[in-house]
Amino acid sequence: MTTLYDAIVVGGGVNGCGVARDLAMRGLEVLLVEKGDFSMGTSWASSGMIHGGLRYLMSDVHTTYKSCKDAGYIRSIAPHLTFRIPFLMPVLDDEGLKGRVNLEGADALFELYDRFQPYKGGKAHIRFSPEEVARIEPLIAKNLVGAVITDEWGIDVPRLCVLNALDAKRHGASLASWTRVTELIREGGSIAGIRTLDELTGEAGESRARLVVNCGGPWAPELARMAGARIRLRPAKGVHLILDRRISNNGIIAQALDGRQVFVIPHENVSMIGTTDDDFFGDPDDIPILEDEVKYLLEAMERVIPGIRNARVIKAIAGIRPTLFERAKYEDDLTRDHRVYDHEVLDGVRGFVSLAGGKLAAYRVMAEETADLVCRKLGCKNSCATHLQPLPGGEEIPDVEELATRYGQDPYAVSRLIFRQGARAVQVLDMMKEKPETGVYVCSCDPVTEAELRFAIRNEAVRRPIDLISRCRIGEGPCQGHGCLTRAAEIFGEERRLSSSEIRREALWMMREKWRWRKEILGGAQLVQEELTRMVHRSLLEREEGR
Amino acid sequence: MSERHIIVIGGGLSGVMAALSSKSAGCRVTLIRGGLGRTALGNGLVRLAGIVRVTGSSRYLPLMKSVKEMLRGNPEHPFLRLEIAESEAYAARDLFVKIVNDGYFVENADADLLPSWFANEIGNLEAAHFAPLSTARFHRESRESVGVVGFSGYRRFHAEYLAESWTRHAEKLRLPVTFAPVSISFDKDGKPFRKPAETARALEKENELSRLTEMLRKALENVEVNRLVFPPVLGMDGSLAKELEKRLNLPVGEAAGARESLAGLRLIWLLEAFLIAEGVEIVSGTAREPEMDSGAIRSVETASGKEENRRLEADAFVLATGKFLGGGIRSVEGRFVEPLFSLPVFSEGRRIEDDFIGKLTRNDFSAPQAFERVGLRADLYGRPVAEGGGVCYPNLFAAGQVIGGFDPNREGAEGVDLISGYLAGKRAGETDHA
Amino acid sequence: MRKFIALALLGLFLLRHFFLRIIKRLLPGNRGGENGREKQFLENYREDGIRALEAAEARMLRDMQGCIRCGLCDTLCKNAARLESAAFEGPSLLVSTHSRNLPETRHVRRYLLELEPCGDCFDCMNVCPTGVPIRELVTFMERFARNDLEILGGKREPSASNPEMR
Repeated sequence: MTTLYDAIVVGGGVNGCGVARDLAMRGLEVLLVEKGDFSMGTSWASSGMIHGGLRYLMSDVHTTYKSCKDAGYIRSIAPHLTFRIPFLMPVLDDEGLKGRVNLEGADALFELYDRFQPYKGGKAHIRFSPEEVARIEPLIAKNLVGAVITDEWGIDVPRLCVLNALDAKRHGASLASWTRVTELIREGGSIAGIRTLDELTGEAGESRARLVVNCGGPWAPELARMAGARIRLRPAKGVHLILDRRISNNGIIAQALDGRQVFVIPHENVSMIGTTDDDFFGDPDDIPILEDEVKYLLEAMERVIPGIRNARVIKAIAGIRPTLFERAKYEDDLTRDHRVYDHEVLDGVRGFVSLAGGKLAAYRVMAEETADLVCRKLGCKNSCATHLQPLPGGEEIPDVEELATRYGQDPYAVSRLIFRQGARAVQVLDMMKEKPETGVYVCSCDPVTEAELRFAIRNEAVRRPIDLISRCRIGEGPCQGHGCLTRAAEIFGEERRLSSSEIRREALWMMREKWRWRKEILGGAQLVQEELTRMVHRSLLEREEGR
Repeated sequence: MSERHIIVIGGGLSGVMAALSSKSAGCRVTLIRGGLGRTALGNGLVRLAGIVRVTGSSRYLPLMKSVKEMLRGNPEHPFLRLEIAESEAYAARDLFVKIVNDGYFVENADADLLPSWFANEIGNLEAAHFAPLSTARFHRESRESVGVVGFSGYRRFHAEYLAESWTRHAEKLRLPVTFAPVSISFDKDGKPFRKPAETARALEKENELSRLTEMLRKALENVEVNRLVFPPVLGMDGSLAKELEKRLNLPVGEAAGARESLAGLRLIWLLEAFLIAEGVEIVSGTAREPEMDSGAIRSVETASGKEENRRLEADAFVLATGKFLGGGIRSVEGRFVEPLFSLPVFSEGRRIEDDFIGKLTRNDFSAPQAFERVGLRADLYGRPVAEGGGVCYPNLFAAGQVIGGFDPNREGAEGVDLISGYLAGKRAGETDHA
Repeated sequence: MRKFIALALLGLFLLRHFFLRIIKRLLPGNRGGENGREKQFLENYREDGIRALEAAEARMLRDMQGCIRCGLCDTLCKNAARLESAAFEGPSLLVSTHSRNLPETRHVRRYLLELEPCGDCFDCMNVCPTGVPIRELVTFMERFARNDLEILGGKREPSASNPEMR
């Protein structure tokens, strides 16, 4: 006898996790199904910003207002996971009078934006002379007319997804990662559940629900097709280059060859250069990164940061934006709006709802709208509270120095731990106190301790070692897992009593996944790193070949 | 007539081989070395060639047959391009044996050179032709049950996992060896050891070593083993293996290291001692700004932070700067360059310059990758050549990883170091090349 | 309609902006006030750990990118061998962890202050396969820990060598 859920949410990106949390908080029985790990699709490849919608000031002021307000909400429910990114818009000298006009225009625009900043705790903008810019951002080009600075919030997106999923679980939802939906169960004109395949055990399963919510992102049209419904997207590929370190204090905006705006932003302990925006009609499971895209981004940034080509790129990530379909528009001009599809009205398919389009910064509002529709259909009267209750660990942010002193740990490691775990950092530190040997760094790039890994494995819906990348940012530093992935697999194996060959298989799987995202950008120090990594792991590769 | 002067650039395995073979040809030799490289970062195991299995069997080919197998279908392999005579290969091996006589072990020195197996920290048994004496080795004839010693305070070495993984691998290889964990709660006053060197230094203190010995004696009371494998931290120089062997009355060896292995450094120290003993002049610093005269290289400048820059002249030069790790080949802003002499860089026999790296990589991480074969192309004397096949400089010879055309991890990196190093040194020492 | 409102509002702010700027220009006293903007910036983002860097410092930090985490410097560092502090694994931690994320580096000062001066020992740099100028970073970080705390909003440690703030 299978349980009858109120709703099954398919897709564990930020939207799916957000919808699952919202529904669970309203007291519904929810199952969240994801074919990989949470956040492994579009969410993982996003710029990781909860912006206030500056660009909508030119088209729809109300959207800016709503975005800023919601950015404030997200910040208040996950204060530990957000960080401020000052954003610097330099105006280059090479355009003569036009440059000066642009600078004044930007100044006025940001002045208007200042009115909305208080909703999300942002600061008023500042306008700088070229000399001042040189002092606060020394690597920037010298030929400026001036620059304007405002700020936005950055966020650790994989962790945000995970926390939403974990909070859904705390409110009674069931989580099923590494579970692929193979078929939708249709009964009459209605969707009654899903058939699934567990990617790890190979077991087939069946779950029934009164309603299925499609949050598949780029995979949403495929799922809709299975339901006999239709969603039309105009998917666009976005590529980011990840640098080994924060190369600047500020996010810096530059203009690309085609006039689009691209940027470099400091994000946690790396910088990201992004992003491209091109139609993509291929397989969202296999997104190639092209020479053109890498060159496009570097060319654009070089104008404002002349030394950028010498920077070390540690990986390139690509994701597919599930933008809504529009014809006769350039990719960049496509609306970032979202849409909740009631397929009962649209296609006559009952028990099936889809969410598509949108942007990361609006995930909570989108989830709320979707949950509202689901609740209307299911007759649930409870209203949304996702903006009021903190995500796990967001209850309060402990003081770094105080905790470090109390537990005798490195304050830097404690500050990174608090960034991820918030109030729950204390539980990890307790483990380190009880067993000092778990205080050893497994990944020293971030750093991540053995205790944090064990805590995640026990408490954070981890099904395989690769999940630890989104839980703890393991292997995301310059060495790309050179030293930590095999060790992480061993720790996982110890916790879950895996055999040595299962541990090896998982370790190799992680190395392969990481390789996919750096094979197009190897160069400079990263190529040196690769020679070392392959030399150290050569026997792992050999045994794999069946010797 | 004055002595012929050779400058060797690079202090890794190939550079040292070149320096010593020039020296034994009667030349004056100066070796310029900067930071450490691949040799120092390795685990001390030396493979003369890829380890090739007999088709359809678990047995492995003897060395010369392995080499033949490896070279089939890879005309760019330096072993082929250098047209090595069998006698030269053996001479290179003999020179290496002479260098590492004290610290290294070679099995079947006169016969086929069948590889032995070494248990590494990644969890595999790895074959090699030479290994440090302190590293535990296994072979087909040794029926053994081995205790894998794990310290609770040294988390890099996971004895339970390794014992199981090695046992399975041994089964697969039909080696009659089994491994069982021997875990003891050994740490640093309740704190873990974080690094191999930290652990090795601690064990060098007599009180720590006797504490460890006591714990092990107790732990071994209930276990039947006839050999022990330790994490590769038995002293900075590995000499504690012998000491423990005496105290425990059991054969003792280290596992082969993986990341941050001390074994590579020990090999470097061994090579350095030999260079000094043989009277090779060592200059610390990086070589730069070569000067040419009528198509040949006359001198290079050495730069170090400490001493004043010097310009050194020589009759011939050996370039043994390694691949990416050694800095011999660099990728700068997407362009492959040889930074010192601006020599052309090849991949699979084809000149490359600003090729997109994505064209030199394959999606499958485990598959052989073209970028690993990037390097210089040499003529039969080991001299780097240009695209058309013409020699770049008549008195410049390349040695080791800086030469491309082979896969270092599958086709015997150290073998190329030894043999091409030996040949480069020897040929640089000769006066005339047709 | 929405677009119209947005553009109208924007137009309004543009007009207001130019008007204010003209007035500012006319008042001579206000022109010198612009020096405060840099201070304002540092004030605004002090809690986020953001500080101004000199060009040479920024370049030096970027040179740290060569680190491949091989660990040779840690193995040979005498300071790391001597220091019992649990936090200090060795110079590589400074290079490949702390130098990457300057805002959080305010939390590193505890063991930086425990470090003994490196003196003439350049072992870490001499063995580095990629030639990372590790010593420069150590010097920078020490100075950073001792002198620049106030800018970061941390509690200031007493420093005998250089009591002056930058």
